[in-house]
Amino acid sequence: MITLKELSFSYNHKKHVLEHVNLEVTPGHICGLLGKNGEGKTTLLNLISGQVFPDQGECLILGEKPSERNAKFLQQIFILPEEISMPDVTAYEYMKMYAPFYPTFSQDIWKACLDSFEVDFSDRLLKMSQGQRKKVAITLALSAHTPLLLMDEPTNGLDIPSKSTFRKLVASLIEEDQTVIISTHQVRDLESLIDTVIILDHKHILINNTLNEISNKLYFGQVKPEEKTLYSEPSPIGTVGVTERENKEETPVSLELLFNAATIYPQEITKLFNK
Amino acid sequence: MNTSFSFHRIGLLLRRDWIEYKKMLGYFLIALIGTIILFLCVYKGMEHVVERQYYYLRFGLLACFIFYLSIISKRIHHSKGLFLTLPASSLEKFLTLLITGFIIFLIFISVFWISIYCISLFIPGYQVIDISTILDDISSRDISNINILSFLSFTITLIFLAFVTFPKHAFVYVVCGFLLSAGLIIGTAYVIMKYYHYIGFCTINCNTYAGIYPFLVIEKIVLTGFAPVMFISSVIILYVAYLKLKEKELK
Repeated sequence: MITLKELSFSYNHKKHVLEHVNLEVTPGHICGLLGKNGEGKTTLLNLISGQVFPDQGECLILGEKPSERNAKFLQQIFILPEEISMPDVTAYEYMKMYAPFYPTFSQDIWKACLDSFEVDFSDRLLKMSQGQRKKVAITLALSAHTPLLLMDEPTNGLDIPSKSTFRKLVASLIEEDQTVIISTHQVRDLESLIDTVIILDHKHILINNTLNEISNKLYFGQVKPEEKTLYSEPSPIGTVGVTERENKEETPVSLELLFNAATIYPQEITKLFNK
Repeated sequence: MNTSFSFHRIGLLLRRDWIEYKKMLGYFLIALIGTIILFLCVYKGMEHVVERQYYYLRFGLLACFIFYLSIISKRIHHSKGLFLTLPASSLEKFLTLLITGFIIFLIFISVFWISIYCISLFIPGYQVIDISTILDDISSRDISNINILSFLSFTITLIFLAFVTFPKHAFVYVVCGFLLSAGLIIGTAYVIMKYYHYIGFCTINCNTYAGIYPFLVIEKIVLTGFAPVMFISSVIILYVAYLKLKEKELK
């Protein structure tokens, strides 16, 4: 589905944002793309969708080069950007503008999102709040039902109930053969949703593993203060941290602890997952 | 649907543009036609009515062109990638941009004529410009007409290219482009003038004529020889604009 080989990219040919990035994503996964501010998460999504072209390396998405931007490729991919530019039309007209471009567009999914988000689609977009516009944009993204769906901070601007609605919709409407990559800082919004984690750090992909693989190698939970950990922090229940699993019981992956461990001890994490 | 080129997709792109811009276009035409009609009605004399209508028609076409350029710029440079990721090929998107321009001009011309015709119903003896006269002017083989059309064609395509390529200060680049083009034309004409003996360009008394009226000779060379060059340049500029759109990145 997604193959990046030795991919490098810079905005001004001086400082690379991504350097020699290698990434393989197979179909049927919901991936969480994590990284600090400015690490290149949005850039990576823009490279995958063909909005920017790599300086070096190979980028193949669904067997096509995104930089060619042919119609067949663009029909199979939908990117929901963090900031959406919306025209002065009603939400209903907005859907009518874009829906016909996607052969996979699903009226059923549209109706499901319409009912769940409780947005009045006869209202003009520019008269809606930012959160309501985001819901309209998410509705279009999910309804397009493309094989590859890219979302950049989709829950930004959503209230708490809407975040829960978003999680329910993604969990119920995304099919097994669809691939979704969600770039986010709000890891708690996605913990129950994703099955693969991709972490960007210092211009490279640090982790690209399923939650199963991660929980096989790492332990997330309470640790003794004297225990050697990859990362630890105080919590109301005591010290919690990340250690090598070794003989410990399997624990659910804590994305926040994983991210902190990976960005503070990247070499240890890389060594662990390359064993 | 043909994946390489599809008229259906061009139709979808035009429909998309119509839904987004119909309100803006409506307000623009109301303001423009309203202003024109106001000026036409303020001067109540019947002399030179048709000439004044021609003048305002050209003014209106210029205003439509500026409006069209603002749509192009907004669409390509300020849509936050929506235009680039819309499922259509670069060629389809490019053709849609050109067709949008023609549609805007056609709508303006239609509304303008209807408005002038309505005025003529209320004012006895009020003449309305004839479409056939304008079409005859355009299709005339008079050399000065061809030169004006070729220059207009070159100018319009150059401005179009600037707005497709540059998100900001496009007009500055247009002015620079014109100065460069003028320099090239004058430079080439000067070289031809200097070495016309060697290429057998002139015949009897041309030394005297060229010596006394050098700029008239340059003008003759430019206006005669470069009109076809300008038409061909316009086509090349349009192709360059297409390539620029194809290479456009969200940077």
